[in-house]
Amino acid sequence: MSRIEALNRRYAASASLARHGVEIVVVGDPSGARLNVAARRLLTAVRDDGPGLWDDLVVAVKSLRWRRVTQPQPTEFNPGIKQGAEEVGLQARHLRGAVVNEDLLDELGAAAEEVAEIESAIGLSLLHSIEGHESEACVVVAANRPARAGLEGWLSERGVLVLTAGELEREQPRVDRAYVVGPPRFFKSSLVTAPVSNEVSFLVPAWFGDRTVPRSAIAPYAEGAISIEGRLVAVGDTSESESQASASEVDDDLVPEPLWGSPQSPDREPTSTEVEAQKVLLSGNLAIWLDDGERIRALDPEQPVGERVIYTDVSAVRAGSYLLLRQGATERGALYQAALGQLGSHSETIDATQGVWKRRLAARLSELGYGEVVRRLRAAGVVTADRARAWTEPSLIRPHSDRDFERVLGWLGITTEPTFGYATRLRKALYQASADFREELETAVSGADLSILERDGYLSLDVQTEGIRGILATRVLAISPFREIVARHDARVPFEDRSGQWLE
Amino acid sequence: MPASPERSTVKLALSEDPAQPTEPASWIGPLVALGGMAYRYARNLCDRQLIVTVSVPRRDFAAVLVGCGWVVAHPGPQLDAPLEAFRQLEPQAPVRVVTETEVITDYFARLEERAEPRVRLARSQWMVSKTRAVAKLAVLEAQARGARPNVSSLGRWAGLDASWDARLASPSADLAIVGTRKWLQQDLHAFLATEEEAAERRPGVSPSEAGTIGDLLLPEGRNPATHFSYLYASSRLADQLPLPKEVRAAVLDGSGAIKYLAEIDSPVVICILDRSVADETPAEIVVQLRNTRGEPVSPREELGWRPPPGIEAVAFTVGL
Repeated sequence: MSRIEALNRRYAASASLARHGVEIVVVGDPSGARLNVAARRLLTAVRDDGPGLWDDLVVAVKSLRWRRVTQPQPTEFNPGIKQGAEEVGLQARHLRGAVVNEDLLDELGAAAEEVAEIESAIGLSLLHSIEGHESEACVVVAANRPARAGLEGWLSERGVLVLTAGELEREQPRVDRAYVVGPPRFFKSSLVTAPVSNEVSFLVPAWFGDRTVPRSAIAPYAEGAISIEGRLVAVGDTSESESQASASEVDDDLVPEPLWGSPQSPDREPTSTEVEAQKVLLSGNLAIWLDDGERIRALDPEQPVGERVIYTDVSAVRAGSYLLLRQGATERGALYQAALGQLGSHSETIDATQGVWKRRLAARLSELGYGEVVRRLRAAGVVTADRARAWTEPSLIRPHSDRDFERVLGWLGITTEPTFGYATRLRKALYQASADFREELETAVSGADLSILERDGYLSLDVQTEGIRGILATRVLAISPFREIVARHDARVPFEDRSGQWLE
Repeated sequence: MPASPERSTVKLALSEDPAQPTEPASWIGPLVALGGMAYRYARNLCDRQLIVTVSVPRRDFAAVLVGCGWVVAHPGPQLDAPLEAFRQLEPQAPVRVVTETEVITDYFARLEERAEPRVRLARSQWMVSKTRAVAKLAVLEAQARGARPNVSSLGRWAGLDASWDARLASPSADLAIVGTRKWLQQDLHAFLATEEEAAERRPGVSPSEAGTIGDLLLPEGRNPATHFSYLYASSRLADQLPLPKEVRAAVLDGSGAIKYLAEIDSPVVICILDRSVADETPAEIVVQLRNTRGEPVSPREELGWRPPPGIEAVAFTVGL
């Protein structure tokens, strides 16, 4: 099938789903329902008691529940569900004597055992659906790689293709229908807004109440907005869904998340040698403190050779992004030195003028506080005033807009020239050094085996630039919602941290 | 007056091989039309920037099709006939000359008026009767010669035939397309034809008759002596901003390009959102800008553009 044929099919499939909607097959699962009820009681107890004590049990229960939904294959193909149930039992036993609600612990243990013993009816329903097709005409979509592996082990002898959503997009198999194991909410909107097949069915247990079908992020504002209806089809005894509907209003995100501990919001402003940062968990049992400075280098393996090394805004870093980090120290310092070096005899003068306005800005921040500085800068006509703190960073040469920079200097009481001109020259030199380094990285990336990166989540790159060795490409697992104050020189430097290990 | 793709119901067809029958589809023409609509709307923007965002099931060809619409919408420049134009030039004036077979940028030396007038440039000479269009340049960047690009099928259908040479001589190179360079270059190799032409096409027709999208967009670098547009790789854009002042429209293809939305100053920006990519960051960037600084514009009512099935569109203006 030519590229253009495949493309025309995609447009047609998208239009088809927009017109006819998706099918949501709601399958009765009483054992899963029992576990879900117990899980909700648990989350209520945690809300009342506070985190800490219950953490490990919560993690185990959420994992087991997730597995019940995304891996409905028979027990002989599902060792993970047995392990998951055992873990719940273990964690529940650990809490005996430590908590009041022992009956909840009993119930969790019993529900977990039941889930391990009694297979989910979704598996059978899936099998019936597939048998109605010729096997090449449909595909089964799994929620993640472990689910894909589990379902594939079971279905491969029937010749049915099993793929994750990402693989489905890459391979674009020519199929009429996709059977997706899990509720629409568990998947990115692209599964339904850019479908590969003209028809899509989701298989969900009846106790999972949220059947909303995602839309694209611009749909609420767009003309021609694609709003896909979910047509419900009930299979088996689905009476459990009514009892679940009135469940507690506990904030229950079924998707497993790491635990970040109790929030320690900073109660003071960072000093000039500190920054506010969020902890980012990375593959390879690493983490970094990510500050809100300039962009950070990232790797996009989906791009072709020569265009994979990119910059990404700190705010755009997500789970699944690949970051490029320098082991031991950040790239920023080395590039700044390289840029100064390019300016030859002027480098000292330029470094000095930069120091003057940045120190003055830091002093104002410390004297007036961030909020007041931003207010005053805005009043002086600085549009991007909220970046004030970032501008004290030496390697963030100057504000992006000329107008803003002039006004900041004016507000600081510094004459525009020669500071403005020097900063602009330095920025140009930094861009050049950055572009040169980018090419180095690109060369290193093109020589690397990216399939290892996909499999393991991290990869060491070989770079020969002076002062820069040991570059690591690593996948972001999770980003903490909380900010803490850390030393500036610790920001963006990878360190060991095992909190993310079960996210992989 | 060029035929307007948006007013007709003719389906366009894309193909990667001119010898194979092409595939007419109803999503192609509207994307071309969008470029034209944006061009017309932009004539009335005063200190504001128009941002149109479309989401498509996959990015392929969308950006270059919109670019084609922009290029095609320009009215052709009004140039004097070559003889008259040469008469008005002073020696050493930078000039671009289009002949039957070539495009040349050079310094004008002199005009020899005789029965068969001849023009001498610094590096070549031509019989005036063999030249088709002449334009004085403000500045000469390089003395160059390239083959004269043929007007493609889409160009013919849009009525650019008559003004093609004038456009080559005096292009408005005001379009920039930003994205993954390799993919954009692949897109440029595709052939674009009307449904009728696609049906009529005999197997084995030569590519020079059919015309690729690149032949219409003429990105800088494809021809040494003239260009209609600029192509930028998103991964390198950080080190190349700001865009040249002549750029009046920027088409941002995908996440890597849309990230730079706040740093692009051209009066028109058209963002292509690829719905098949799981990452919703680029959509969030657009939505945030619209909600904080945007004044909504209705694509249907104010641009005159109706998104076809499979395509969503949101538009707004922001103050510059």
